[in-house]
Amino acid sequence: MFIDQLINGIVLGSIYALMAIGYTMVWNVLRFINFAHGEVYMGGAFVSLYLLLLDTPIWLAYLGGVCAGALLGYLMEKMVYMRMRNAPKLNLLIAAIGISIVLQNLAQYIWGATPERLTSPFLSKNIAVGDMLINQHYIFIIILTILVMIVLELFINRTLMGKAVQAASQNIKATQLMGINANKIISITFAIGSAVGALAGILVGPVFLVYPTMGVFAGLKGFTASVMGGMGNIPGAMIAGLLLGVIESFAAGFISSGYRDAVAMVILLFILLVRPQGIFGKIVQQKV
Amino acid sequence: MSSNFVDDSAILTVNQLSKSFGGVKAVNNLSFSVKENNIHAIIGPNGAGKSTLFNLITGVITPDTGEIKLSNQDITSLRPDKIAERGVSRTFQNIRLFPDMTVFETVLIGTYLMTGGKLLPAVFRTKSFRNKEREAKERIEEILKFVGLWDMRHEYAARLSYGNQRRVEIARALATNPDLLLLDEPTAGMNQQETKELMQLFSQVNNQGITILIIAHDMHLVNTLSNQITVINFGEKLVEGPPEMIQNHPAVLEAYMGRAEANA
Repeated sequence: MFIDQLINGIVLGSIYALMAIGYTMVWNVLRFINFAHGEVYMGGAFVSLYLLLLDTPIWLAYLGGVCAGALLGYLMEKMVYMRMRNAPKLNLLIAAIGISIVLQNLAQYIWGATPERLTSPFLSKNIAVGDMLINQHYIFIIILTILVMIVLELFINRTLMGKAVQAASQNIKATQLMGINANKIISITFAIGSAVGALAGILVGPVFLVYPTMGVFAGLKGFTASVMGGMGNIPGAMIAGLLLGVIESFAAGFISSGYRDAVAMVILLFILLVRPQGIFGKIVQQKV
Repeated sequence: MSSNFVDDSAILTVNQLSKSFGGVKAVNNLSFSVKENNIHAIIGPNGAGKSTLFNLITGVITPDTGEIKLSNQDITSLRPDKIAERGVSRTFQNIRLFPDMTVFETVLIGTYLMTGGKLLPAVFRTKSFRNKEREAKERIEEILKFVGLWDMRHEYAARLSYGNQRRVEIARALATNPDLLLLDEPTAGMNQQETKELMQLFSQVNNQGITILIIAHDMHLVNTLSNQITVINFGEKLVEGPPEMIQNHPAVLEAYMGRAEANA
């Protein structure tokens, strides 16, 4: 029972961690929360589903969904947020909520509101660990999440472009004056964050199904994880995502599955009260 | 009169440049040119429009009217990264570093133009990319030794002393291989020793063939370092000339100290 819930929690937490990456990366370069990120998660899952209906091989369908997610994130930045670069941050926030609702409705118009299951080559198989059976798809989710984290870590810390993304996060004006195109960096950030978000949606599709509003709660949880981890801190967001998933899973298993979200939110409130900078965040000196 | 003047030896030409902020003319019909290899100073009272001028030249803000030419290319209203690419780099009045980066990493960002910042060659580590990367690393070493920060390369830039933070900014600016370096009050807040050392550094930078445009308040610095001075006030050019001429110019004394003291 304990191990079961732990594994469920890690799987759920992997999804939250992947979602949190998108919020964090965008926050880092633009200092705003892209509330339409949940719809990238949904969009990626729907595109994969659609590609599968066209008899696309499953890996290609997954890859197509990830690429579609990256494109969706890239386009929302280019078409909306980029044009609001000098607008108050509140305008961006409202625009993001607007985009979110439009995309939900668009998905419902194109694909309908009935939840559908995305196929997974692993879902019907189990792996025996001791006397326990673990669903192979769960293992697949955990492995892919670890892989994404490694690749992202390599990109951010080992490539000059990753360094440029970091520089833009720390001082975008100075970065531009070093000959770095800030808009390009922001586009790359959106594309990568959205690709990872879409992957989360695709991975969840076989378990929790695909429907137009699937991104609402997942988005909220990913956002929660990014705040818990210390806004702007990518490793922090990933760890907080895992933690949130595990806590929720234990709450569901040992208290009641009906209150899992409430337990998660109580913990968020607690962290915000005790450590406003997040678990792994730094205290930012505010100039008075 | 001053419109369309052409000066072949000028690396930077500013022509009838104007910029207003909400009705306040920060820069007003300003024209001047910077000769190649000069150390050219811009002086003027607080609020005279000096920093606005730097922001206009580097493309951070766009002018209302007028033009800015680099050598003979029009760079007016280009994006900041494009202007940096054409060989203009700068430091800021309030030091702007990357708080979570070491000295080495900070200067590495400055070499982005050298390696091109292309993602695919970086991922596949193509031969030409590796060569460029090696060149960039050699260049960083050269620059850090030049500014005297090589031993501190692994320290967080933001934790260094104020004088050394300024050196990091200069090193980062040099890493973009500028022809023209803009220094916005580089010695503000420095002690005498730091100021002296930085002045030496500026001459050495200049000796490498880099033209310097410097905003400064310290008249001693301006008089010893620069060979041309433009005085601006209320966004307009007051006078221009070599230090000997500017030092005792009545208009300068008036702008700086007010009429009463100027006569005293």
